[in-house]
Amino acid sequence: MRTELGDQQYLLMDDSEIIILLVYVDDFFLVASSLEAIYKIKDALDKRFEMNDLVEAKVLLGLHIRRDKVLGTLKLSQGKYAAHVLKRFGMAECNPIGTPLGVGMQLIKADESDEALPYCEAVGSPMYLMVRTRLDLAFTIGKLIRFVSCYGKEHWAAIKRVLRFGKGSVVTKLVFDKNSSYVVQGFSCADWPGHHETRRFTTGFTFILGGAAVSWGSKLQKTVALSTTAAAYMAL
Amino acid sequence: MRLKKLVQCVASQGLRKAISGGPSNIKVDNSGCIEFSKNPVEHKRSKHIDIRYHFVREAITTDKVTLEHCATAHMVADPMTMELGKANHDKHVEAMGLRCKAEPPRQQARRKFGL
Repeated sequence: MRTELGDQQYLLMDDSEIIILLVYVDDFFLVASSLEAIYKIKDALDKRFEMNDLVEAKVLLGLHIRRDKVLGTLKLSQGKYAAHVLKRFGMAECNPIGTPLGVGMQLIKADESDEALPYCEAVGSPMYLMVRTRLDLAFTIGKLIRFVSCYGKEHWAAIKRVLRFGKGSVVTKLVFDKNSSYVVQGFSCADWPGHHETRRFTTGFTFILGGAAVSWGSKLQKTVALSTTAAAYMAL
Repeated sequence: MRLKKLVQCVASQGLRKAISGGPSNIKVDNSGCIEFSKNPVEHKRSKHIDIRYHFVREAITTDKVTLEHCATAHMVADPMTMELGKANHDKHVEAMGLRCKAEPPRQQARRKFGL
């Protein structure tokens, strides 16, 4: 059975084998349930295309993949990219801080943006981290990205705090463990009443598989809810 | 709405068989929400919930997902919706599989020599 999962992602399933093939421009990334399956598909591809085999993947678009066969763990990290972002915004030598956002901090739209500050870049760069490994930044980035058209000094201070938080956790890895549960465990919550100006609320979810999150998200809803129950229900 | 995506992905592609047996479990920290999804009574506060959000009822009756209550203190998705203090933030983020600290040298050595 062959299914197209999305843009340039393919999933092949047999009775016992699963093969996932990702295509990025002229690179293939193959994942399969057994080595034989990988060899089989490699041979098939080799006949059609001229290919170089780079053996086990170590880096994929800035994502470092480290497998530990003794412990049965798979670690994903983006330390190099994080360090690059810090350097780019002159925060390589800053003092680290424990959380990405101050508790109870309320940001309001500024009347006009301070064009001298590279705010958009400073929000966008950690966003790439957030999408792939740093799920702890999801809410913060979501909150700060609302101000790309109307940012002021306090927004800039907030993004600097995010970078300081990033400095303290450059080595963070997403660790999957072979020995943990392989049942999808979902979590869903809502922060009703939410946003103080518009009364729109944020919902968050995460799905955990094999000891680490495989899917996560934080979204400001477009509607208002009349009760916590309604908010939690909509979050699902 | 994410639930819809999950159900489609899990059910239609037979991935469920490959990963695990039973229906996927989702934890929610609002018991009213769980009760309402099982037994949707008509109420002046619930009638405003848009019909598209009632997808969850179908997912539950067809046994694709189960909802389970968990205390807010154990709500792992909490850092996705609000700013938390360091202790809570670290606890939840670690539950999601992010490990910040490097392995202590002694443990590294132990593993290296198979102790």
